[in-house]
Amino acid sequence: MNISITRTQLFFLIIKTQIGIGLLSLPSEIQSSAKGNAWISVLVAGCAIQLLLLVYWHLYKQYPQHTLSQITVRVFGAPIGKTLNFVYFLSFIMIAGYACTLYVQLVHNWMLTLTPAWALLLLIIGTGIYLALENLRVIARFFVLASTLFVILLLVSLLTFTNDMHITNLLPLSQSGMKEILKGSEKTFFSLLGFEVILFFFAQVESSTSRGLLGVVSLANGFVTLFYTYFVVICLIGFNPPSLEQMNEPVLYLFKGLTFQLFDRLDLIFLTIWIIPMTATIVSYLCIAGKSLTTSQSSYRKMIGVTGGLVFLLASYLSTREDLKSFSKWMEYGYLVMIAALPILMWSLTLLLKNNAKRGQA
Amino acid sequence: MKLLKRPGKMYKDSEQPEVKLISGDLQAKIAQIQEHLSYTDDLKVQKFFINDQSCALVYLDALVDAEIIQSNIIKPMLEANSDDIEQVVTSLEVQRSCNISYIVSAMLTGFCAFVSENAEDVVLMSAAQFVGRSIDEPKSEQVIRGAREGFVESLTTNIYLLRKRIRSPKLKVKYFSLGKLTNTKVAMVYMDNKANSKVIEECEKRISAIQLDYLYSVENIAEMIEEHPLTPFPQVLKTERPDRVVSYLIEGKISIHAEGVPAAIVLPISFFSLYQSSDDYNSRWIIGSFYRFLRFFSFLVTISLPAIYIAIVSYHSEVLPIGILYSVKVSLTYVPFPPLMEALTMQIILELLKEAAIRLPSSIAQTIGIVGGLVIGTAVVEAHLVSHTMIVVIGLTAIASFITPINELGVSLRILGFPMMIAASLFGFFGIAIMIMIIFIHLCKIEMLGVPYFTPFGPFQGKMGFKDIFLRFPIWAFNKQAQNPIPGTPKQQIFKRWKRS
Repeated sequence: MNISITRTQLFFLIIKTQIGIGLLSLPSEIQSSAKGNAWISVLVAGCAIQLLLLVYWHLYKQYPQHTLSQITVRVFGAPIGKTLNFVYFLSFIMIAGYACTLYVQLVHNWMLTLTPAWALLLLIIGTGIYLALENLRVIARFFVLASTLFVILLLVSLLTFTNDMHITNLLPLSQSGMKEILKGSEKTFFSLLGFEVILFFFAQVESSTSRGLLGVVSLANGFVTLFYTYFVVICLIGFNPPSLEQMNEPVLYLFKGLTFQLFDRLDLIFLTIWIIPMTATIVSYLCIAGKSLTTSQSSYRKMIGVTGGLVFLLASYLSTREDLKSFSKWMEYGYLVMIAALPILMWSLTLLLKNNAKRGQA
Repeated sequence: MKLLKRPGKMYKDSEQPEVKLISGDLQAKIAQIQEHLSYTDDLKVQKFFINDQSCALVYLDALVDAEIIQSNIIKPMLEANSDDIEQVVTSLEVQRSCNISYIVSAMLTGFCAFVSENAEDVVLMSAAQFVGRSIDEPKSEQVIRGAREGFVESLTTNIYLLRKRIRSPKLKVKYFSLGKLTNTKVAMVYMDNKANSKVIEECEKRISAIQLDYLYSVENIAEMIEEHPLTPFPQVLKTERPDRVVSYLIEGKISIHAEGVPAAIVLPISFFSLYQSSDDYNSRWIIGSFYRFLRFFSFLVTISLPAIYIAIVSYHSEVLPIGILYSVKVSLTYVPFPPLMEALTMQIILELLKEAAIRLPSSIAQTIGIVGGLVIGTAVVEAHLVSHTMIVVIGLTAIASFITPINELGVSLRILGFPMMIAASLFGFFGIAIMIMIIFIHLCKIEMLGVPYFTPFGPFQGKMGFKDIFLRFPIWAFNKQAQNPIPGTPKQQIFKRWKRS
């Protein structure tokens, strides 16, 4: 598993995992609480993630060349550590399954209303497994390639400036209080998920001086946060506030209104391109789910197959459910414990242990 | 690996052990050689007496040049009338051997053997005749301007064509003999200081491991050493142009040539080098870049245009504005088939026409073009079997696929178009996006001799790597020498513009 990636590749791995399905519905979700200040919520969420990244980085500095699953075993000992890794494995499957469900719903709503969910899932997860089977270097190679699509997406998004824009929607800055903004950030936080992959990928970055790593990770976080802010802002100024709250995928509606001589319905073209980042997110989760339980390449391949099967089962169950709200609430908080509370706990534990060890020596 | 091992076993018992030539009687010696050459009729035995002892000159009639034997071997031998034949003959290469299988294999490469009653050894003298086509321009890789030389069937001439272009002591040639029955000579050429030693080692290892009866073409070597036999993408670059091979050798790639094949393979290559053409460098960089850009565009058109058409007319007709939609739908009204059928039939008709025309004499091929293009093309639309738009789409796709400088790749791309079309007819745009993803994931997975096929994307090699890939930047932009000029030499100014003096 010592196949290494470069720092540039790490950057693209992170942004490709983070930018996914969450963005499309994000603006309306924040709008409902933070109103015209939604973009501040995104920035706040970005800062929160930056703090979390600092914790991850400190944790990694304590255990260089270790993935999260090795760190848990080191900190808590084999029995608890292994159990935790299994819980991690399950939670990654949960989040991948949930992402798949949202993905399938989106495709259902916008493109293929009558195609059965299992067929779509099969294609999505099949493609995901096909890539996730390979070593990290191949995955990174594809992610770098696919990242060029973001340039196209940004260019396409410039076309929306031909719509009526109301910059005044952003004003006044005091239209929502701190509480609402924070509430909005909480929602943003969940659509920015994906940065936790670095807990596994850090260990495979070649010639890693840890300071450089922090730089790359912060840069990626900064890029993603700004990317999200940009889309939130163009949605905020593109729609009037009450209608924005009503929409499911405001980013797509933004494009739907555009008409050109050669083609209509830019939203479909945008969504077609967006399928690739969405699938990439699932690839990342499959990959870290596999890595959380095993370290050898051959058993990793088997794990990916199993993981893919589980994600498929979970997603097909979830897509039959009418209401995902309760599940998503429950899952999001559970996941938050896994990726925020536990690493912080581990970090503080290692600090304590280290202090104790020092005192013991003295 | 299993496949490679089996033939090896089969030949173990038939392999000839080292047999020594019988000493003594001349007749017996000749008989032994004859036996080893299966009593072939073109084995000539010429007996004469030198110094009162009987001796004979044995050679394969077809392989030797009678002129050389006469003037360089027989004449000086008879004139000198001496036993010490090596000193006498003026042949280019003289060897001694008593190993019968070695003697026979030398005779098979055009040596003639001098057998004498007394001597233990046989003297082998080279007298090979050389018949070959003259060097001319390769038909499949023509350029508008530029070198007109192409590889020929003779390996020596091909290596000469390379050496003529790279007069460097670092150009290294390694010979292998492949094919259990044909013993074809194969050369591996590379620049010793440029090529990666690990890649060379791996390549050598794989070539030596090849077990074949018969080497049909260099393509066989490529098939035997490539890592991904199931991919539709060519993993080696096959070319007949020495100038092209030279440019890759200088980049540090390896080229492999085989006797009797006028093509060379270059490896390890990246996907993007399949889109480079010698013409790019023969014209101004803006023109070169423009065409390179066009070729990448044609890549996307070839694999996805029919699929996009199918997806639009069967799922997402709202993508088209009303004006275009109207004309598309009108032409579809009387067509009884689903769009996928239309596209598949037209694609197959096109392939049939191409395959039919390709090997016919040009006068008949023209007729096929007229029958195919004009008669079938218009009649199919008039009969409402296929819509107008579909003809346009298929025509564009075909032209786009012919743009690829490597013909083989064009065919691969057209074949890849079929799964795309099926995915589009089942899942619309979603299917197209997923298929494109799978194709690109596949491209990212391929590695050749440890070098990733999709090289500039992973590992990302910095800006330098990009200057000769998507666009053809001017030569001073990616030539290191031009960037760090030798002090004292006249320098070009900003943007490499010469300062007027």
